[in-house]
Amino acid sequence: MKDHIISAIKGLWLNRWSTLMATMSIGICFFIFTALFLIIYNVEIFTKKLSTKASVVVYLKKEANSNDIASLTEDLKKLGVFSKLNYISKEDALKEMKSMIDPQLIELIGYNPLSDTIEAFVKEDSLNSVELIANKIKKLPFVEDVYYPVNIVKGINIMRITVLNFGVFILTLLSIAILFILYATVKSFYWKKTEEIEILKLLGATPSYIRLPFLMEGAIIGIGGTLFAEFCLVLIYFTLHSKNLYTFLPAISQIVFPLEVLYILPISGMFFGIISSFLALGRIKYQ
Amino acid sequence: MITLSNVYKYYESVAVLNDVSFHVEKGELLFITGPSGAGKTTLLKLIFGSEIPDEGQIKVGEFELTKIKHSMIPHLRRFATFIFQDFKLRQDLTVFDNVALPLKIIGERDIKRKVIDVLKEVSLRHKSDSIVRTLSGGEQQRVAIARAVVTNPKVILADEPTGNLDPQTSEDVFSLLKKINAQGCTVLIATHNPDFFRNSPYRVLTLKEGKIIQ
Ligand SMILES: Nc1ncnc2c1ncn2[C@@H]1O[C@H](COP(=O)(O)OP(=O)(O)OP(=O)(O)O)[C@@H](O)[C@H]1O
Ligand SMILES: [Mg+2]
Repeated sequence: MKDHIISAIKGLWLNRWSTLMATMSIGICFFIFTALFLIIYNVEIFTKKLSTKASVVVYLKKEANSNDIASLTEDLKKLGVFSKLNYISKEDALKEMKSMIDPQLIELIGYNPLSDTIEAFVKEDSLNSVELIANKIKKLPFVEDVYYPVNIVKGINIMRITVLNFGVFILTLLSIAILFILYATVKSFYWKKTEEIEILKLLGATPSYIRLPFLMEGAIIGIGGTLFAEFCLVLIYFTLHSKNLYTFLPAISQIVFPLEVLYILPISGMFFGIISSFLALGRIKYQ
Repeated sequence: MITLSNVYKYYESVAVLNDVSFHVEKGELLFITGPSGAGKTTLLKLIFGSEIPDEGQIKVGEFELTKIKHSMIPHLRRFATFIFQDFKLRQDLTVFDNVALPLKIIGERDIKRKVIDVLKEVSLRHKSDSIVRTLSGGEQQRVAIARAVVTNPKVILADEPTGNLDPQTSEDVFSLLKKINAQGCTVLIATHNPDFFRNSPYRVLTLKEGKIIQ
């Protein structure tokens, strides 16, 4: 094992420029990869947050009594598309309004102009059919009107799906690019050593003995690339969280950076390295 | 130890080995001779598993070479080692590292002692740290022999081990191989130099155009 590690490090040092180039290219790929992943991840979190706020507001008719309201609530529940139902009486609504608007202005009206409402939170998987649901609710008894933020909900969904699809497409391309770079690099190392390897085969070396230093070289380049990518990410993270930008664009504080990335990235770099080296070496032939 | 039965080997439809059969006993020393191009190297390569016979059976120890699994070839090459006509040494490494290589491959622990011992035997102890590139032909030949014997193989296949050496060095190399044989190792020597076997008690196999003629 020690011999293999030494052999791998020697090999990398012998090809230090190719190693550096490969590590940097892979690093850049991994950097874009992770940045893109973080964007997708944040968009997912952001849209999820928004969609839990996506509610349908059902305005009730004045004549509805508490029994009617209870049975309507049951009907709404039966639709199975809401995660939560909130009944807000017009008195409560007025109280809330008074906390927002100067109460004297409301007194001027002389009566409570608001209606009883039910605030219904739409389940995530039913967001697409919110328009249909609203139309159904309109036909229920004691429903005066239904308000729903249709464009926002639709917009969010379209944005989410676009980012996701585009993101996955780019991530796939980047993965292939990383594999190719590692493949080509390790293959070139292998070709430079064909004579050494011929001798090893003649001396009874097993395929795994021959492969191991190359797999290690691939793994080291892979890990090196991801560490470079991590360095860039952390740098950008701290730049974004510097004070001036913060006050300028408070939304930045909402960006989520899962710390797991910091160790998952090098591990995947290692796997990329090992897999592409393995592919680059192919079958070790003795005859 | 080694048995060939009706072995044929063709290169571009020319028979390089034509119906070759013979048997080598354990601990025997056998000369294979014949003019250049007779098929001596090809014969040794077949026994070493680096060429595949087109017809016939080859058995080396417990290895059936006609149906040997790919994964068994490294083990065959530890059982039978090869001294190559062109040495196949790592020119960029020291004598010590070259001889240590097969020991590292088999995961041997006591590398230093074994290498030094075998270098003493080929009178190269003082050259242990020299880079192989800087050695003379005779010295490289002895490094190749040291590397082939250091793992104590059961069979040694020596291809033209005295190919380009002066008579005195050739004699030394030959005595060395005899000594190894005396320790119980089966040795096959391909050579077209008749001086070694002319007055020796060893069996001689003469090849001509791929056929055994004697
Ligand atoms: N890989 C190959 N492809 C085609 N022909 C080959 C190959 N290897 C050997 N031959 C041919 O097979 C014949 C026997 O070659 P071989 O090397 O076995 O002869 P040899 O007896 O060892 O000769 P020498 O004494 O010169 O070493 C030669 O005619 C050679 O040209
Ligand atoms: Mg030959």
